[in-house]
Amino acid sequence: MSLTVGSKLINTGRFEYHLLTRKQKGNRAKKVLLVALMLTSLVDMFSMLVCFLLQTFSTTPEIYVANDVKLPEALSGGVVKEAPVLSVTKTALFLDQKEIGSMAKILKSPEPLLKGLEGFKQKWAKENPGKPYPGEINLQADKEMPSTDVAKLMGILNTQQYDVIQLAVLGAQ
Amino acid sequence: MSLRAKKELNNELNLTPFIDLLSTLVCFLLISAVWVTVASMDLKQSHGTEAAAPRESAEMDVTLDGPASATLNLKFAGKAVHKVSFKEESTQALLAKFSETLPQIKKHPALKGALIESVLVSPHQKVTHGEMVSVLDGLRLQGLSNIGIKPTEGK
Repeated sequence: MSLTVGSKLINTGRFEYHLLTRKQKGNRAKKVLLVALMLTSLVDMFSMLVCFLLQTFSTTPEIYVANDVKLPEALSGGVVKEAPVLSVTKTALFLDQKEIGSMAKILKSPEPLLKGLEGFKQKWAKENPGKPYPGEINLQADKEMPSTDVAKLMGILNTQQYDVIQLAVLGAQ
Repeated sequence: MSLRAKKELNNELNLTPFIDLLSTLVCFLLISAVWVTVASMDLKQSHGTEAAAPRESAEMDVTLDGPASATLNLKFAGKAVHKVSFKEESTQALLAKFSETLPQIKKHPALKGALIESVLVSPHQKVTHGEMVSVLDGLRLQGLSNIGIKPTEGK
């Protein structure tokens, strides 16, 4: 259906046409202000947005990355696995988002870290009785940190049977 | 007149539920969208109290002396068979050198066709974590897996 408003010929739906013509009948002298939402372009936009978001949708587990951590980049990164997360920033260490102290402090006396790691092991043993502990941990370290400090931290993790260390990197999966 | 009396067929598509559905879908996907791709690099840190007996296998020690210098020490059955040092201007140049040299090192005659089973990287204090990860990435891209980091005291 089409309707002439001023000098323009506008395509309208049946309901819009009814509303507009009814108003015109009542006030023939007054100009009609036509406010019609263009649904076609809206639907187009939504469809494109849905297609884009569906393409970028990921079902792999995501890990929390601390704001202060600038991760290094790598091309050979794999899929992130679910495991406890140890974040190393320039100022502090976080074990599953709980601050456990500064890097210097932990390297001198790693008791808070060892206690936290032991807690994860005990929790695993309760939830999976009889199964060996997989010893996986996600390590997020800031790219500006000295590599020797990170290596020493890995040594500490190693003493607690955390043998599979997954270094978090920014990558092109 | 008979045509006028006939009812017109309403063939208009009702867009309202369609837009509702799309809006809901867009909201869900926007909330669950991942904007930063975090990947992981597996490191196999060996541990044990006893020294392992020398096996007929190839290993490589990578010593990072600086951000752009490294020494590769190839071992077979516990004995050093080949050693090569690099001193470049940048980490990227070092990685380029790795990609040139590593395919030849992997085919070293002293290895007798054996594959390099493990790589141990020893970083220097001057090397940042980002630079070390770049080197690890370079080694992995050359087909070397089972990479570990030696917890050095920092020279």
